[in-house]
Amino acid sequence: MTEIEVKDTPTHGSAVHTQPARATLVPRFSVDDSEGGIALRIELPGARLEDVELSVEDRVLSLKALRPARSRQGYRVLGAEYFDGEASYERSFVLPDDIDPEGVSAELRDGVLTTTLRRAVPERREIRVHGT
Amino acid sequence: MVWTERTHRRLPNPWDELWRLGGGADRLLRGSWMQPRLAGTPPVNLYANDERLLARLLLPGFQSEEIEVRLDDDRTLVVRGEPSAEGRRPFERRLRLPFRVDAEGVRARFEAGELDVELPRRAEDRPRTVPIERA
Repeated sequence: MTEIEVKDTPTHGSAVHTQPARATLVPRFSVDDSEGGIALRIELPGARLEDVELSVEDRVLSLKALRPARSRQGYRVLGAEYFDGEASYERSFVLPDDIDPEGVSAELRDGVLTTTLRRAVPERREIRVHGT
Repeated sequence: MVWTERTHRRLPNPWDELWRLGGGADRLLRGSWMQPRLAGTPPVNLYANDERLLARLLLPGFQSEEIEVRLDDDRTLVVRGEPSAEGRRPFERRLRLPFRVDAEGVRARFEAGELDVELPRRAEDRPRTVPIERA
């Protein structure tokens, strides 16, 4: 028989604290495709540099960036067109075959993460032909 | 007289009438404080307390020198963006404010793609506590 522990549940005077809600946002992006590579401009307003994670694995570029809730202490909301609580920007991109996974660099400026993807230079290899 | 946007008188705004008819705060929540948002224009959040308003806009990719913050009159905030490089679209957001503000005290700050505009309420319009006199 399993004993079930009954916890004392406060009924008055104690607020019930739940996990603060964190929204997952899908950031908007634009692509600039050129001969030398691809520039991905991903919009991350409010994201902090230390909270941006970018990785490449199996040709998939994954982005995760935390955006802390901005303080609006002492204010009440009159109208909201965007979510202003704590949020996580998440999005992944499948890279084209000719992108060099080693040649990815990124810069965060003015709320936009510009990710530069370099195209791999096709290697030319001479093959010696043997004959009899 | 030179015609400028500033001197141009706008046509009566039907929302003003509704505001006067009462239920101001209620209408406010339904978005009467701003024009319908067009696709591609930046989103705005509007906050208030008894002393001031705070308008927050998401403008990722803009630089502060590409943004213009203007008061057309003491209840109309206009934010314009004129990008200098390709990739972003110019925009204009015009917000009808729920109360009159003091143009001298307006402060704007731009960081990480977020624009904050703080607008103090005109001192004479602020709520006041009336002391009760002793008999």
